[in-house]
Amino acid sequence: MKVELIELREDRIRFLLTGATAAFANGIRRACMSEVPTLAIDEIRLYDNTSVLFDEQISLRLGLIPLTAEDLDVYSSPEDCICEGAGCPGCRVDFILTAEGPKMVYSQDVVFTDPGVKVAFEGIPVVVLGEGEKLVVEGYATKRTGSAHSKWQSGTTCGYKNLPRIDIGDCQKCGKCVKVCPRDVLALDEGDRVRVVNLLACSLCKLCIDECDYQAITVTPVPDSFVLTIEGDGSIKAKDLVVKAAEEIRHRAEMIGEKMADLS
Amino acid sequence: MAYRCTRCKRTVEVDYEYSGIRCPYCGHRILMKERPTTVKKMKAV
Amino acid sequence: MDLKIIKKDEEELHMEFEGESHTLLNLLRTELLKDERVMYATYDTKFTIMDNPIFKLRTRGEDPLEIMKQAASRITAQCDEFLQCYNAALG
Repeated sequence: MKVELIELREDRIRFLLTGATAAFANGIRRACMSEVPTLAIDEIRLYDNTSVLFDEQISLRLGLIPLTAEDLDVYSSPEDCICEGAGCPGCRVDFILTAEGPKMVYSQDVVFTDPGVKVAFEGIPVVVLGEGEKLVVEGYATKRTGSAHSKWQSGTTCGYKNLPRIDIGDCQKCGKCVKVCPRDVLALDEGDRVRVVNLLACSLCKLCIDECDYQAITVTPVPDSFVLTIEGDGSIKAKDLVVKAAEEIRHRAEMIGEKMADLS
Repeated sequence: MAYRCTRCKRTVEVDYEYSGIRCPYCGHRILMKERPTTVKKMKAV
Repeated sequence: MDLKIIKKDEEELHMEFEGESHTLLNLLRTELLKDERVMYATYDTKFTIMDNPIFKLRTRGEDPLEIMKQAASRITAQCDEFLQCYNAALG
């Protein structure tokens, strides 16, 4: 197995994985989206809401705000908590939100009792309050995985594709394939020959194959190489997200092994 | 149960038996139910 | 995760994986099918969000529990290798 880094940003990572099965690449992708836990506002108590939005809309908007924690491991998910789901400081982070108009309520107005827990992005609008309108909300956030609800998804845009392999054979230098490519993968070099300049951008659409009158071009997926693109919601760094996803799969596989040993 | 008249904005007690839904001060027929003072608990979804 | 054995004999194993999905089971199936001793390995969920997937494994005469255990340890090794390569690539 080989990993090559292509692009790394705070919220996004792109890497080339060679020598793995599609099931493994897909496992990483799925685990990033639905098995890595994160915090999200779970339940709210509304004391006052005279804004133009219904209570339910306010609650949905609050739930969808991505949250970050300095140390997420101090919280356990309600199912695994010692309180057995009753609710305790080990599995809940309380917050309060009070605002009086005229003003725009932003995500940063949500204040948590734990100073380590913050909203991932400031400036997400919640509701605009007019003169004399009030919003008083209290509630708590819990840690769960994306399989429970998409607001707990820490990986939002995750995908993979096979690495393409483009072979150019008996080229007649007509340049049609260069023109038709929507992602500018091909280019003509000095000798008017077609050259692959941006292999990773290729989406294997095969328009160039259809366009070539001489069947000189072939585009095939490399079966054991994958380009994975993982983008998070800001609650966790993208590079850590992949690590957590792989650890999650490892943990589950380990558990199967243990259970099998118990049963046999 | 407290209502509020949408025309004269006054708080209104409605006597269902006697007058039906109607503001006793201005006779307007459109009344708004006030938000109860209880705390509303809901899932953030 | 909770495992429930539905059927088990010398070469066949039907097992319910509580709360598991394609994430792990597709990986497990792929690993099992690489094994020469496996006749078939597949899984199915009756109703996607209501039922737990049932994994069906049939071997060519060997103990299916042991083969499943080996496949799981191969997945663990794969994850370890991936994490090592990944961390090295990030530097």
